[in-house]
Amino acid sequence: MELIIRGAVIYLFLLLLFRVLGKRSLAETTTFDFVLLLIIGEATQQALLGNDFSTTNALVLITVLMGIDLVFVKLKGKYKKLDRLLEGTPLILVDHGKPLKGRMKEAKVDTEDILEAARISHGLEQMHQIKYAVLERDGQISIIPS
Amino acid sequence: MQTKIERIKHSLELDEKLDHQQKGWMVQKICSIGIGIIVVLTALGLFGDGWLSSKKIVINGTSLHYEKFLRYEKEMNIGWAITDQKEVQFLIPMRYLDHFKIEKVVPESYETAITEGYVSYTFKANPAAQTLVRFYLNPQKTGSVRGEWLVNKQSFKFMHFIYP
Repeated sequence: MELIIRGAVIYLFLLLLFRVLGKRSLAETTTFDFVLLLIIGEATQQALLGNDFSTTNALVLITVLMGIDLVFVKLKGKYKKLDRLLEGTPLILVDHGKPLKGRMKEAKVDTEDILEAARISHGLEQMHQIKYAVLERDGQISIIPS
Repeated sequence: MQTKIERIKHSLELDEKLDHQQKGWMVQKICSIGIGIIVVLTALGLFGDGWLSSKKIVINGTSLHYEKFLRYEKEMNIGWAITDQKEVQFLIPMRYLDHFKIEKVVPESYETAITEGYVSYTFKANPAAQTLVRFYLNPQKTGSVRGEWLVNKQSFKFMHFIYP
């Protein structure tokens, strides 16, 4: 029982934390972000496993975490409000070449991020070539050229 | 300061739910402040090992130093400094010890016994010098724990909170 509680608490805490930090926090993973993720993983490991390093404990824990995730996936599919709450909604950042500064500020996205996405996805050179830039639910920026 | 959020008409088949986004940003800002407060409180010792957690009690030349905030299965110690005593006897309530595992006692006691509801540790001491005794305990249960130790019949009441 303790293992399930530990797994659920850590799962919910990380879910809340990364939701609070915003969409872009993990989508633009730099080398340092990757290192930070490893450290978070290491810190979490002890809390999840406790002093029991047996294979059984690890297997049970993985099953518990996957189980919780499965429950959330089902619930998100059933309740749209919960889905919006946990995953957010897409947000338009550029409208016909015009950056929407207020939205970009709140979403912690700058012009460089949008131009980078435009270059990578469509080879675009200028902001006015972008019809729409959308910050998707997974934190990626999708570009619709003019 | 509230940022002005642009409202636009677009041809994309997507529902922005802008009001929901704005609520989300507000919650993010509040939580960011919360994270900052937690970091400061952690630095101050609300979760153990710090100014808010450390406490010292001195009664009749015997001083007790302990941590108020502990963590589950993280070893801590309770330090005692005793003066002017030839022999020192600690009586620790069984109910208190129900929450802890005694890892070690430094120095080793001269005599250990179990009396009515207490575990007794007795040490020979030099009255001319200060005697230092440290109990290393490992919290085994979470929540609030009250303790009343008797040191040469002098009562010391203290409380811990053990975080999960």
